[in-house]
Amino acid sequence: MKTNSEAAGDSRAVLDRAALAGIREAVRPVIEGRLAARRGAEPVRREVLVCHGGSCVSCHAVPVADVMERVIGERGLADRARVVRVGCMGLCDAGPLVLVVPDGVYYPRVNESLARRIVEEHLGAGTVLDEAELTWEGPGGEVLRSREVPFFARQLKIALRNCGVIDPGSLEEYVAADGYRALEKVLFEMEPGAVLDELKRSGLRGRGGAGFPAGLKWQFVRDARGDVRYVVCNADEGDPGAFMDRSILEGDPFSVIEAMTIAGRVIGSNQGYVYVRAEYPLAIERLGAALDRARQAGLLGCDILGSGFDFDVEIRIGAGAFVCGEETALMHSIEGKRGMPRPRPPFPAQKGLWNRPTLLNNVETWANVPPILLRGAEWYAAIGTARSKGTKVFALAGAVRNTGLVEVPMGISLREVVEELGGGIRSGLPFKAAQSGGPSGGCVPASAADVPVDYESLQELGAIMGSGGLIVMDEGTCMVELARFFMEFIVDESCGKCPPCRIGNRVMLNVLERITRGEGREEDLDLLERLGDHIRTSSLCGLGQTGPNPVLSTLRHFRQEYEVHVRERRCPAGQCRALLTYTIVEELCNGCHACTKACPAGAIAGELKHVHRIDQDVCIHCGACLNACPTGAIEAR
Amino acid sequence: MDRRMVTITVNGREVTAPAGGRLLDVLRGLGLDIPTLCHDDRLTPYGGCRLCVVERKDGRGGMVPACSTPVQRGMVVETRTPAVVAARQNNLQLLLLDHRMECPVCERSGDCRLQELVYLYGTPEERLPFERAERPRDESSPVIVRDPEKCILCGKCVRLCDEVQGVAEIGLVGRGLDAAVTTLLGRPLDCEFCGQCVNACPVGALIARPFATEVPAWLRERRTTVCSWCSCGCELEAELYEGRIVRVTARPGSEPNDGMLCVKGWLGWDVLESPERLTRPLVRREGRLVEASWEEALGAAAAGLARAMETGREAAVLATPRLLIEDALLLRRLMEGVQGTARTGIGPEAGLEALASGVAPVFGQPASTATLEDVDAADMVLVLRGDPGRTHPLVKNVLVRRTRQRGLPFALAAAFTAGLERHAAPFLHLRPGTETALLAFLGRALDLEGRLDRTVEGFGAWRESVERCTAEWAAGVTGVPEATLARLAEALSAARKVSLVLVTGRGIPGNEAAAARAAACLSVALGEGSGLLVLPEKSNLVGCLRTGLARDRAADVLEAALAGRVGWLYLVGQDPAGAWPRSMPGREALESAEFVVVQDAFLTETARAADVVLPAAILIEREGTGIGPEGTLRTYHRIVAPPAGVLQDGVIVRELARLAGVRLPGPEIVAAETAALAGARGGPVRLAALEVTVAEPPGEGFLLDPSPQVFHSGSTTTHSARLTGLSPGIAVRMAPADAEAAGLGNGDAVRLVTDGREVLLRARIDRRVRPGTLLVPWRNREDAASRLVGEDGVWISVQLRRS
Repeated sequence: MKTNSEAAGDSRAVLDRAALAGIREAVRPVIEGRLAARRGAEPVRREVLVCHGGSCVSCHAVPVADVMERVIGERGLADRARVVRVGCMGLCDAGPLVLVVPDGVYYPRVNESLARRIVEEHLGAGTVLDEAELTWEGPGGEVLRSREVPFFARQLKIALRNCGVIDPGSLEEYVAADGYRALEKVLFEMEPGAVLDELKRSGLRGRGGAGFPAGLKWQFVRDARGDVRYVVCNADEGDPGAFMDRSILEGDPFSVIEAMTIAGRVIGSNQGYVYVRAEYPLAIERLGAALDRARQAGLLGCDILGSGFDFDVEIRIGAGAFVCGEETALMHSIEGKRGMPRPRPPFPAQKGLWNRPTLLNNVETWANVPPILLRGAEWYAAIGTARSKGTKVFALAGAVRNTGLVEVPMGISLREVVEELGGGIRSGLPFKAAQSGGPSGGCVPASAADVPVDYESLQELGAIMGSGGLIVMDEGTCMVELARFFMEFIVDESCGKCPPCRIGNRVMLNVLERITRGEGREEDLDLLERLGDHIRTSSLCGLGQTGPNPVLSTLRHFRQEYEVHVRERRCPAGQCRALLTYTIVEELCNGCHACTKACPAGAIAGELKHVHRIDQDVCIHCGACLNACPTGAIEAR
Repeated sequence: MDRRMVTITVNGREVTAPAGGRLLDVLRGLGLDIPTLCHDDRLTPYGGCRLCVVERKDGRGGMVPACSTPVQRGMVVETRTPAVVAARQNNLQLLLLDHRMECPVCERSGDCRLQELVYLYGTPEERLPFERAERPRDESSPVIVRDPEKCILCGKCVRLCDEVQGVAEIGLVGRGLDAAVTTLLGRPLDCEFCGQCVNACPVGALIARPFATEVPAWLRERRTTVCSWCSCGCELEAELYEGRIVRVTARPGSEPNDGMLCVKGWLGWDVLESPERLTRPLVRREGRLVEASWEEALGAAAAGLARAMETGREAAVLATPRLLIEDALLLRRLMEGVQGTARTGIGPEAGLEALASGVAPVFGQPASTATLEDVDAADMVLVLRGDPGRTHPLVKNVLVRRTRQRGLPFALAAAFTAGLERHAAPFLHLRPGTETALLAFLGRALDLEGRLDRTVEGFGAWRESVERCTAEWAAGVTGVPEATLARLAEALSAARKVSLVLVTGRGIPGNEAAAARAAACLSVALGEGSGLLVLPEKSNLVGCLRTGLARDRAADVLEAALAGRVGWLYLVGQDPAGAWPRSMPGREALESAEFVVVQDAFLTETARAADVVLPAAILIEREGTGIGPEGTLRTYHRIVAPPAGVLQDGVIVRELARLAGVRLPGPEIVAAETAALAGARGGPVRLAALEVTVAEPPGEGFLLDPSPQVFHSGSTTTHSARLTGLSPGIAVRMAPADAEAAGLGNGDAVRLVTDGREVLLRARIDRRVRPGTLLVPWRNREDAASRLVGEDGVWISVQLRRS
């Protein structure tokens, strides 16, 4: 089988509109075939889509694809099957993930020997591999082998439309998947004002977290005084656990480039920057390759598609500071200065990069732009809730069965996300809460899980949409420890500029630490609230202003858990080690002395082959005995 | 910017305020005390300390920092709600947690902004769990001690050093509680030691060693005056205890310096207490100078004068342009009273020729036509001849600020620089002494653009004189690429208001008069709104010129003395034997004069050869009036009394007059005459043809840079232990690349050779020196630079030889 690039003809030429149309015609059926893949389809030729998102690559997806290619060659199957390396398919938990089309069969956790078997048996003999050994189960025991399962079926992919479908390195595949049609429309059919109008009517809001209406922002930058303007893509995805921006850059880099080019045309800018964190080497590599390819094809640079419009994009690599995701700190960093926020106003739309009007959107926002312009504001605005339109990508993590990336319509309930897409809680314990928005976000308790999720409803619950990190917790999670964990992150990442954030958050952490150590005081809860409120209202930037959110929201929804820590010196979830009481279950103890040897405090006594005892007055709650006991006789409560 | 007046509500009261203006300014204008720690009117808003928070009640987001919130129509602001007060208290409480509190023994106690605000607002009572990290003090600098345990990270020092001083010696590193102000890789401070950081620090995190005194703030008496080191005329505030200066600062908002000082204005005042000060008059007896009473000394001086008159010889005076106007007027009257034809002069001084023979014929008066404010506000500025950072630090700061904070560009055209070139756009690295050629080229180019006013008198002749000065020609003469020349011409052409700044100073190569005339002509031709600011070296050169004291040129006085015609030579603050360029036979003239009276603060080379030496008050020990380069009156207050036995120049002159039988006008008349000088206006403006001489291109070797240094220019500063301690010492400084190529390390002996002259110096590697240049700072007549340069104003190339 020819590659799609080959099918599209000379891939090194500068493209014009006719060439784009030609590519679409030649390659579109292939892409459509992938999208339409269903069980039971009768294959003439097959494609094996091997997920090459960051997670799958980290669990050896590359050698898996290599093996498949080699075996296809060895078995003479090259005319009937080929391997396509695509972006993130979303179900990271099951990586490396492989999808065979048009059959629509997923293979999870594929290793090299399984890769060989898939080629030989499925591609060669047409036999789908034995399902029993290769499945994983949903909450109802159903087999997740096809797109019909809720994890896939409940998703609506707009921002992630091409992720897991096309080869991110292939401009032709992107073009075939409607790529650059929106840019053509903006360059040749629409006035900039009409584009703005379309964006505004679509209701698209910034996906970086704050949810500012994108069309309005574009308008502000277009209207700002000045001769030079800049377009910036914020890809400094700092929320640990969120990775939709990385996945888009890895899986569909051209969509961001196209959207930025469109913005350049609309607001009157000729230069864009993508600010990516250095921790995303694969995203940087693929984005860099896509930029080179777009330049070569004449889709960046001078006189794009003969329109007379010039635009180019450069990559700027961050150095790993969470605060650089804040827009003013990000711009300082691009300028080569210390990444430290400054007060707004002036907003970047008025005075941004090098004091010029600057349009700054995050990766996911950019990825939404081309489909909106292509399919129209009405189509987009019909999705979602009254004030939050379209879809949102969530990075689903924590106690759920299916962890990974999901894109769902705004207004879906947390319960649906957790139970249907997430497949429910893995441990079987009850669903306790979900942390939305990472370290800047807050906890939504299970009791509020039926509220439709959008910007406003999350805010009312004391959480935020944020960038879409969603950590699901079961009853085994201690909310005080959770708050302490996130506060530690904030303290590490504060830039140090303003005292509420620099010193105040450290004091909050100190208070939380003493609570989890069992040294909490009655007044600590009020102190946390007073200080948290002060930090929230007085800090300079979003990092400080949202830093106390995890504490404040857990205090609000789980105050009793804090009180138990302080008053009873007990951790109900059993996570705070210092608060656990270790005892020896007499029936299980065989008197082996392992715990006695492990105990650094000398708190355990007992004769060999007789039941041992822990002296609670001497015990320092380190848990060493728990790990040392071969019979599980140590109980921690 | 939009500055319409709009109505806002403050604490329930409707007030009008400029839309887009800073809310903080409006609130403070209403008399409200809004606390700040990180704010400084001279800096771009920072929004760091969060103390200026006020509450917005118009539904646009609760607590906002007044320092960085622009005024908007309909804004409703409350400044003292419980929430506002609580926020301030909370912030102060947090700041105190991470601040080493040793107020009773802190240098800044009683003068500490944090202490003051905690006093005013109080902090919540509960104790917060927090452990302050230990951080060592940085004691590596001889001048500034940095104490990170007291630092509250307001960032003012960092921003002043960067935005205003243009040095950026310090910066913030680290995150969160690890954030700290530090130098590059923690090296010892290696900066201009202007002290802005210390003066701006709201707490005791930055301490100046020379001012580390045990005198608490409330016992110090504060007095302001005008600094008299250079011609910038900065206002400074001295703090005194028991009549001695214990600290020097400047207040933001002061004129003209807005709280800025340089190293001399900050630290240089130890000269006043130098053990080398003359405190008693000296009289020559049997060939030796011996101490005498004022009566004896003045009697001897008067007797010498009488003898000269009797023998029909001339009386002559050469005074320093640091002389105040009242004193200069009295001196002129004395000499006129003694002898109608007496010679009086104030040279040779940097800037004198530029004003007297350079611009006077064009402007009709020896003065500038642009002020520092004009320079600050001009669309484009062209700085010529030198780096003001070395000679006129305030002007450098004004240039840095306009470009760093407001994006207004300036161009620098000079052979030798000291860092300002980093901020200049464009920078023209001229061959020494080719400013006139550059200005001639610009005149032609701008006229071809139609940018010049052709109706000015004398335009035709001037225009003709620059006709041959094409870009190609100018590039050949100046060594500046044609493209850079074109860029400068384009920038000037596009600017409506252009300020030219002409820097003067000893050791700056090239004919300052010719350059000044060329600059004056161009500034006139650029039309309304454009002008020229000439920066003389000494503080009151313009004032002295206006008193008429500068009737004779120093060279003519010398000539008369050498010819044996001068019977009584009165040298007031002038040191021909020690400080004049070697091209002027000052020492020989002294020997030829019959009787020499020297009035100075130190026993200079000249004083050693005098018949009578009279100890005089200097700098801020004096009371009187001066005139700055732009023509404004300055009042000098006596901040400290001169040492016992030392008198101010005018007092000495009056005593001499009394003995010589010359009647001098009373103080009221002198005051009236002084006041009349301020408004002096010049004659009609006319352009003159330029004489563009083309200097010989440099020979092989390095360019010798003998320009003055900011720490130290060679005469009075020699007696400041603080300044000489900071100045790099007698050495040849060179770029790292040049040193490497020559195989030289720090401290290696090296021989500089030129045209038969040769000096031996130690090499010092200095990253600030441009490759191809050797920096040998001018200090005095006998020093290395002086011996190498030979004749003043002629730039030379030297060979470098390992010794």
